[in-house]
Amino acid sequence: MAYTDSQKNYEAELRAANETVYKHSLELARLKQALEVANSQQENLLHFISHEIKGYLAKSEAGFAAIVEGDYGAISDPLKVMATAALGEVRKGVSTIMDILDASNLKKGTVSFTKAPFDFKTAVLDVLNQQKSAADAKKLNIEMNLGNGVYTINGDREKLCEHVIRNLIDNAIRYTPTGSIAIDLSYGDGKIRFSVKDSGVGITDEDKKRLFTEGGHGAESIKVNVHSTGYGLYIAKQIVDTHGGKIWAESDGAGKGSRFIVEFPAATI
Amino acid sequence: MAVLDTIAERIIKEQELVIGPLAWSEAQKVSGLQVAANHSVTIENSDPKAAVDQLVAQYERLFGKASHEVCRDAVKGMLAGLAPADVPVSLR
Repeated sequence: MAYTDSQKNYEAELRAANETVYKHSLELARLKQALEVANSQQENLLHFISHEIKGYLAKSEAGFAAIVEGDYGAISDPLKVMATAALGEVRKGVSTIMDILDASNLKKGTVSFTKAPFDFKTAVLDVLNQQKSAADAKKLNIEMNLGNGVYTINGDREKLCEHVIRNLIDNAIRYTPTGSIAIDLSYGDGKIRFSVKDSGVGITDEDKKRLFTEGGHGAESIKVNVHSTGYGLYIAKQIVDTHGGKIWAESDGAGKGSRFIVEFPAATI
Repeated sequence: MAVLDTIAERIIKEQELVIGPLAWSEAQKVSGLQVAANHSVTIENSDPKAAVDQLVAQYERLFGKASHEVCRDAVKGMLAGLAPADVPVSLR
């Protein structure tokens, strides 16, 4: 069957359009490749810098700790006050750098997890004991409803304590100027649910969107905690995800408090 | 795996970066080119060079000269080990 002129024109137009789309796609593919290379280089650089700074801070931390603990002999009271304050600041620096390094390692998939059954309630109580003094200092009332049972989950106790339980309780203390914090633990449908509710600064709908993202700061949270790295909840989510769990936040808005909930599959042993 | 099988696979993967899964469905239309479910490629043609030429032509027919250049660039480094007579015409 012979093509008419209009069919030929139509085919030529279609071919030209196809070629144009292809060229645009090619350009996008090349830009994507370049972006991936740039991202990878940036991540490597960030990792390298963080690692180097951590080394310097760790040495300073050891130095100040030795002074405070009297390893270099008796020191004057003013020097002790200065060294104690400096030690606190250096520890904050180490913690910040560790957040960045942990996030970077989690993203690269170079974090190894040790999975073993443990009682989540005991883990919560251990973390609470460590953080009680911070809550007491702000005169925050902590209500606990941890139930009577044993809440066994299969996971990396240390990472869950440090990056999930501690992070959520620490955030509740940090972002609650006055009022109370309620910590709940329950079991249902084969899942263990841990929640931390506070009467603090709350979360706007806009902030909820970036809450668990890498480096995601809430507009309100940055006013309360200017040193926030924005990596804490990102790391928590990565770790919860790795354990087959879920983490999310609820809040009625700014100034109305918030509730963070984590669910894990209960261990079947 | 024969060199030309690897070359054909490399071309399809490079096209996939630009046009997505369409790259594989277009490759399946080339006679003598077998694409397995795991995306490994085998040339079952008495003239493997012709199969590669057909593959390049299949993309060029749809997407023009730019796609031909993409095929060439994709395998540039792999042609060095081949005798000139063994290089498919479309890639010379």
